[in-house]
Amino acid sequence: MGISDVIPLPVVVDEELEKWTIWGKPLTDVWFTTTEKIHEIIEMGPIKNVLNWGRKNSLWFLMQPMGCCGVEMLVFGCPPYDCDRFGIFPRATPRQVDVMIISGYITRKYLPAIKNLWEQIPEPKWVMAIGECAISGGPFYDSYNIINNTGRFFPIDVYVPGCPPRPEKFIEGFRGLQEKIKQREDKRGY
Amino acid sequence: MVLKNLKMTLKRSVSGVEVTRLYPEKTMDLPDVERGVHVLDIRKCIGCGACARICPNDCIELVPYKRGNPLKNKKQKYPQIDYGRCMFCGLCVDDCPADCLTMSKVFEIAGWERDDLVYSPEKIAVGKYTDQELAELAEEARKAAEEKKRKAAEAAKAKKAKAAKAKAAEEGEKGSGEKAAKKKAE
Amino acid sequence: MTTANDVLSALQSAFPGAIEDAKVDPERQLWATIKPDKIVDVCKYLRDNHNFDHYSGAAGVDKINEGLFEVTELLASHGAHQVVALLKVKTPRDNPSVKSLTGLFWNANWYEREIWEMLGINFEDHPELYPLLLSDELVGVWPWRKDYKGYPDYTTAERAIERINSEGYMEYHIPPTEAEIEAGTVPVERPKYPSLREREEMEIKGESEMILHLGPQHAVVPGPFLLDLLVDGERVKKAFLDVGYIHKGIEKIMENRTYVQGIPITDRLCYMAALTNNEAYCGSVERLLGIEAPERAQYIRMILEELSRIQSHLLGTGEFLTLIGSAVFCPFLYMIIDREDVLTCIESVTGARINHSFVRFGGVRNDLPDGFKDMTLDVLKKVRQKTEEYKELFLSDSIYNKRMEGVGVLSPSEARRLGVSGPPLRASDTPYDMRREDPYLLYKEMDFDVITRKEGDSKARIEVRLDEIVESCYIIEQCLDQIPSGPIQEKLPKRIKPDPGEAYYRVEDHRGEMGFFVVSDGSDKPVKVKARGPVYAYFQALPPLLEGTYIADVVAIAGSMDACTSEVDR
Repeated sequence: MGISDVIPLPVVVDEELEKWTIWGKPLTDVWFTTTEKIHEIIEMGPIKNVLNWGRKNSLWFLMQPMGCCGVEMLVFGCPPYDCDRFGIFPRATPRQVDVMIISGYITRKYLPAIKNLWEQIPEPKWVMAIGECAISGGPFYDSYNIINNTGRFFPIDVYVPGCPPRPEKFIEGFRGLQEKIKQREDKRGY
Repeated sequence: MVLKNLKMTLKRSVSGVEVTRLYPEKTMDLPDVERGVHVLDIRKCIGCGACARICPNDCIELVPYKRGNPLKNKKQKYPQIDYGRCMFCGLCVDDCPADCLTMSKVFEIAGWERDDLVYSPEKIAVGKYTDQELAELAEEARKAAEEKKRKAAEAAKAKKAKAAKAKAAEEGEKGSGEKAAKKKAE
Repeated sequence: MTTANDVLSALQSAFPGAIEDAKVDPERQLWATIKPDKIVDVCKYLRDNHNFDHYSGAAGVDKINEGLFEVTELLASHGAHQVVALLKVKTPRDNPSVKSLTGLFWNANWYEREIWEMLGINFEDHPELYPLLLSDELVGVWPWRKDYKGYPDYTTAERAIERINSEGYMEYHIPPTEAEIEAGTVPVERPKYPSLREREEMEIKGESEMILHLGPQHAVVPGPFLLDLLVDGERVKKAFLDVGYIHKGIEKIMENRTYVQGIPITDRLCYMAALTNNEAYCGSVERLLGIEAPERAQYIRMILEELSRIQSHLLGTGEFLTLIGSAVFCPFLYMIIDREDVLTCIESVTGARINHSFVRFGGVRNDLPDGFKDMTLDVLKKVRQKTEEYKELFLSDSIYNKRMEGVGVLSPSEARRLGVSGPPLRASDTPYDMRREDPYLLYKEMDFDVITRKEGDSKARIEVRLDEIVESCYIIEQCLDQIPSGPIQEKLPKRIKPDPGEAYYRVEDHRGEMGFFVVSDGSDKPVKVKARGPVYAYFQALPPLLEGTYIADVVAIAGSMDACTSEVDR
């Protein structure tokens, strides 16, 4: 289907348009378009960079303290370290956030709950593992009740070691995530 | 009432004390005892593995590494630390007999992958030898080994002779002991 | 003045033949083995005639070599005397069963439930023997028994299988480890009990009642727990507490580490009180070893523990204020700012912000740095001034007062019955403080007041905390004046192997009575480490405290307790 089918135009215009391309794709593919096609084009082009610039500068995270790292997470959100400087802001509900911080030991009993929280977060979303327990089980790596490989359940983008990490390390981790989003190397591919 | 409660807030806001630590631009002054990333003095390490044994998290592993001092560390094995599991308790540092493992003030070690957090001796070592120094040390180590071999052979010889002597003496004693026992029995 | 020897001779005359191998060691602790059929009578006698009205906990020890289990009951008194009675009951390893003390002491409930689910010791006449901390898949395998094969478990994540349960929710099934299957120790039959949901639904009686779920995730409470409220309109009729979301098995892990390796693990027991946990553990091992830290080390420990108390109370109060939505979030931010100053002081000595791993057997890790005294005195001056400001700010605020007065009132007798300790108990007019009651370190020489309040409501608890901050400042100033120079570490062998025996050592945590019960068999690993934490008792006391209150007051009451789930779950 060409443009001359819709608007009375000479067929020459159609033939001419078929030669045109936009970012390597024929323009006619885009002309009569669907939402999917628009998404495809956004994926390819510099529009995505603009979107990612916006995303990386407003990473709201889920305030969900689980252990020692949770205490440092409270401090990270408070004036002494002031995460708002980077557009990072704590929220209390998973419906309003972009980043989930796993800040402690995941046990057999808590795994379904935290998975549920992760699935409640709207896209786009990222996940960070903060502290030894979230990365590998930490001091409790051989316990009968601890899930010692969190990476199997969540697409973790940034690993921040520390027991617990200083609030500076939270900032460092978030800057790493911002860089990763900018370079488009995050695990879920935004 | 409200004004009275607001007094504190207002006082705080005009006091001019800066509380925010501007981290990426300025790092705060950390104390000397800060427990951050390890530093391994490769010239001192004797590869005894005390750190790996004391580690409660089992995160230190001895791996082969060629840039150390072969005179002190014959097996050429040095600690590799998995920061995905290390809890920075400092027990390894306290237990190090050669005082070669210390903890620095560096804390920035976030990684994009799990494997980024495993720090090989190459990453934590300071005072690495150059190639020339290494060659000299290897030569020295070879000489020392030869010397030791020679000494060991001598010692073995001496030991053998001593053992033979001792055996002879023991047999003599045993004989006398038996005689005594016989006498007693009679 | 009652002494341990008096109690022992009274016991021996009252129950001839029921007491086996009793001893008094050290002077305030009475150890005795009681015949299993007499334990309830002995405890009743002690409670009624000798003022042992504080049930402090129970520990189950698996003595696999002797083929028996040992349950140690810890009894103490709320200030009438200072004797701690540690009564042991032995039971055979196959078909173990002990008489329950829930009829005498209300708060024995949770301690006995925990021993049942972890070791499989049955408690006769226990009203509700349901699992407390473990998920359903682990009930019946008895994980704290020495012959449990699933312990070093490195592949939990790899074995997990995702599935949808009958209610349509996703859950994970984690099959037993290979070692367990090989040894054939996978239980064929698991104990039968109603689940939490079934128990809740049994309680719903009328049309107007419903269940309100709070948790497990919450934005300012570090540590998840589930609080289910059966409500009738605005009133809470009954509260159900489900803990164990972060059960890590610390006691099992410490049995498999050497004594020194256990120190960093005790930090993670309760991260706000890392130093006092260290102190309690090291103190009990020091008792086993028969050593004492040098004087300077004891002063350093006291200074840091009091600094740690200040930061914990600041954060606890701040969290509480955020929970009740007071004064638009501001005091919390101020308290965090002040807490950072205190943390800087602690960090300059220990090298870590939260988990210090600082106290060692017979000493401390580092000496005080140069200029510590001046820095600390500056900070203390500031903290003291700020604390006065906070008191003025929200304790004189009429809205705050109306919100908090008479909310969650614990009467002195009720508080003792529920077994709480620390600030909530002291707010209920009971001057019970380990620093006075069972003086450890050099608190005997210090001059300080035990803060109490008469009211016993949420407001009183916060007042007690704020006053304790000022009192701690005073103690630190005395310590800094008196601290002598000298060594900071006793000489110890490299491999620590205490003689066979047991020790119990308790300290005043920031939240109450913290005790460590350590059993040694002469090897380099402890047989049993039992942590008796204060928050465990708070949590147990929470459901009865919440009954009959408004929903809006639930967070105020729970927040004023300053709870830390990590220590409950362990």
